[in-house]
Amino acid sequence: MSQFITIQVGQCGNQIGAAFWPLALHEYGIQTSSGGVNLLKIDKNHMKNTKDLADAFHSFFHVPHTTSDLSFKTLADLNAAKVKARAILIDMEDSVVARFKCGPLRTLFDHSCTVTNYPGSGNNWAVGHYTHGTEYFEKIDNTIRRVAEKCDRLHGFVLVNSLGGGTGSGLGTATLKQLDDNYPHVDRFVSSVYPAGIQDVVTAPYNVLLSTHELTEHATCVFPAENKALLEICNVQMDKKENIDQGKYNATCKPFQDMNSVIVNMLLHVTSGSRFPGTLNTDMNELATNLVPYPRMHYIFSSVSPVALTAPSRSIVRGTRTHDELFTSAWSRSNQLIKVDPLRPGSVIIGAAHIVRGNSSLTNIRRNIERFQDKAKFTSWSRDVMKVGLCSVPPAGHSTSVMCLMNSTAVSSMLRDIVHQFDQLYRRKAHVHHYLQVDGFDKTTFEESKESILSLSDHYKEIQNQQPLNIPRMKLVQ
Amino acid sequence: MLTIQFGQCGNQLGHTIHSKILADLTFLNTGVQSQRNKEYAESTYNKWFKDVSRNGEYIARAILVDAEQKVVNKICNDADSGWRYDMKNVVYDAGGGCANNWAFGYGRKGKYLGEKTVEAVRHEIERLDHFEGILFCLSSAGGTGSGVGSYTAELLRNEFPTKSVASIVVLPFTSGEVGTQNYNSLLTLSKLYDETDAVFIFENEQIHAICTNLLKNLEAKLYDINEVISQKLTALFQPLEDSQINLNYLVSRIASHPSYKLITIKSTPHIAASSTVYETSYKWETYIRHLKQTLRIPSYHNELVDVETKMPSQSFSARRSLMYSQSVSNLLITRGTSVRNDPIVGDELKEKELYTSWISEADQFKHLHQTRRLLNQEKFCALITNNSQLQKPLDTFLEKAWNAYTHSAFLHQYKRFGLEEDDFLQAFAKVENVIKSYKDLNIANTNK
Repeated sequence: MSQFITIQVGQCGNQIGAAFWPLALHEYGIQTSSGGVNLLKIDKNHMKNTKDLADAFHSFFHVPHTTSDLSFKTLADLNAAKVKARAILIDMEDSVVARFKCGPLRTLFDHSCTVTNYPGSGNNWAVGHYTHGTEYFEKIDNTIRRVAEKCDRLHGFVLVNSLGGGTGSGLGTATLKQLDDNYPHVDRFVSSVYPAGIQDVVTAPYNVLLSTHELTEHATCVFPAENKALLEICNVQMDKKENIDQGKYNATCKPFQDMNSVIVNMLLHVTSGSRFPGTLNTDMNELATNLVPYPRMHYIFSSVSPVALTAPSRSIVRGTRTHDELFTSAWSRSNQLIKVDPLRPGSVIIGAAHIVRGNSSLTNIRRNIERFQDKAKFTSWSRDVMKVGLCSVPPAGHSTSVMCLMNSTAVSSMLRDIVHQFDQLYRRKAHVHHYLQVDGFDKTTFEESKESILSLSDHYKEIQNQQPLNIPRMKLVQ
Repeated sequence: MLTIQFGQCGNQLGHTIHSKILADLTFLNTGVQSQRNKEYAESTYNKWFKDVSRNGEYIARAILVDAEQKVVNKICNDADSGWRYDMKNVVYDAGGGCANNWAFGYGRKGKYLGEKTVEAVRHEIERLDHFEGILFCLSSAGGTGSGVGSYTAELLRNEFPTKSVASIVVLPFTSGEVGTQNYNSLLTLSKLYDETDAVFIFENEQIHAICTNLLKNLEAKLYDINEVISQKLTALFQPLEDSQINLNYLVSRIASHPSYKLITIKSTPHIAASSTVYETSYKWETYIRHLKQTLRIPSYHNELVDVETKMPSQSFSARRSLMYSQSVSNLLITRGTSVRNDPIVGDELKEKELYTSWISEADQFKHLHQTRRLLNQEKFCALITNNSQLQKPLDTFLEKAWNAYTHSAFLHQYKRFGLEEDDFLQAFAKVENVIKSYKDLNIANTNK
């Protein structure tokens, strides 16, 4: 099974990590008391997949070669077998990582895999990217190598961060560049939280712009998420009666943990095809091939349905209708992790992937793909750019789930918004001096990043308005 | 026969074929005397299996190739009664598949996997004193089957230039299974057309229609599609009465012209398991006419009807005005008992209107028979046809690939692995040529 190294950078990145590991263990059927996951009900059939689950355990965890039995049940089993998470924890302030070190999962993390410092990056991208990026270059390099050497089938890096602050955005993108340089053939998936709307950091527009430019250059795929969208998804979940357990779970959550769980659910689904078998197996590197028609255009809309992590309290009658509903809700704008509707009028889809986990027939899927093709707009060549994946292991709480990934030209509005926010601040040259005094940062970086994002946004728009070329096919000479 | 299964689809299909073949031998109601049934079984084992393990399991003469482990692990572990694969013949690489990218499979993974495969092939050939040929199983949509398969085909042709190689290519659903399927299919066909002797084409879409319309399976899964394809293939490859049909014979019989190498198998009847008991059996004549109708060119006002996905019926009109798409050659295989008042006459398939004029009558058509029932079906007919219909699915995906290519969509992914625009153009030219050759058959006919 393919293996992934999770790199969590900055406060937000590590908070996502804090939500990630208990839920990942939960999926593998290992109950922990941490983070309230024990409140989430498991679908009664989930344990049928024990063998596939155990086989895929290597994906996120390193198990010393002495252990051959992978059917772990409790945290104590993991400790006894000296299981370690394939994770790298990077933060320039100690607080969140420190919580890992004393939390219930502490033994899962190798202390040599954490990189911390004090004080932080001061919400300054340049400090994170250049000051800390240079200072910790070797340490991070060594850490990555150590973890990578423990993998025999390294498939990808999953980097989680937020772009508003200084460390996640600055050092996160510096780490990403390092990965690109040292491991050019290993895919780099980035799940980034965009602050959009909620401006708790004054310099966020700068940090977002500068890191988005880096993401465009160095990531294989970016799965953006916005806090506002995550919050709304959480609220909707709480309101549903059948998800009482989810409500209880959310109530016990630390700040942001409920929202981060939505991201975690997405990540577990995105990697599911690489971890578990299926009759139409989808490796993660296939996603990039299928979703990215032109270089740099790798910002992917993601949504999972059902959203809730817990098994519904009422059993749902299975049938064609519920199956269609799963798909419909995966396409709905309210399930997207960002507040942009990928199917909004005017936008076109330039690549889409549907990953169905659990039980489903081809007939069902074909029908829904056709529904999707009727619903969405396409360019003259992208109508058939449909990836279908079937993964035999469903998520812990459900018998079937659907993940929809779309590359839509609607993302250009998010990109333009980034530039707009930046312009508002930059026009007054506010806080610019903080950046300029950082060694290695050049004023032109602002302009370059802005240009890069604008040109990307234009490229999306160009495709949106593209007229079919209609070049006649080759004529053969008699 | 040595089967090489590439990628997910190829491995799953190969597995189903082997299971189907063994299943065929388990039926008691064979319609022939036990001695003849024994010979039939013997000959089947010799063809597809190389050994019997200590605990009595047959070991398939097959090589499994995949760029990642999950699928081959799964099918090797799937304990199917009575047979298994030789674990020494499993060739895989670690850490992710071929990314649905032909160039990745061909240019990167192919080198390692291809050489390993050739080594395994050499090993298998060395232990045989009579080697029939190699059968490739792959889908053209993904990256492994298409890319690694193409690369291996080249290696094998260089290494064993005299051995017959036939490939079974499964075409994806036209509405999309993989975003890059049209490129991958284009590149695969352009290579396999050169490097293998015959290319069997199966369209997922059409087989799926057989599942839903004829087998009444409204929840068809991939497995069900593979079942139907396997049934068609067993109808072709299981032993026959008068002559041993081997790959060399097949290739020279049906794909004798280097420009016409596409083959498909039309078969009838496909009956839902639940209704076998109630289904009235038709006369051979009806089935054979049904097969003939599958070669019809749909008339203009008539929506494209695929006759193969309809039930056979006695009322198929024998109107003279019907047009048939031209065949290069056909091979009819009938399996089941023939009695005096229900003779098997292939004459309808001999008619001139079916064939292109430049092929001699003796080479146009051949009928082979086996009295032993196939898979417990009272009667089963298969028409192995090299026919101009096959240009249609090719034309469809070439059109789409060309459209994407002119917009340079996804090209950067292929360039990353060393595929240049020129390679694409050559592949386009190659497949355009194939399509044109087949189209010309019909044009020549209308001018007749």
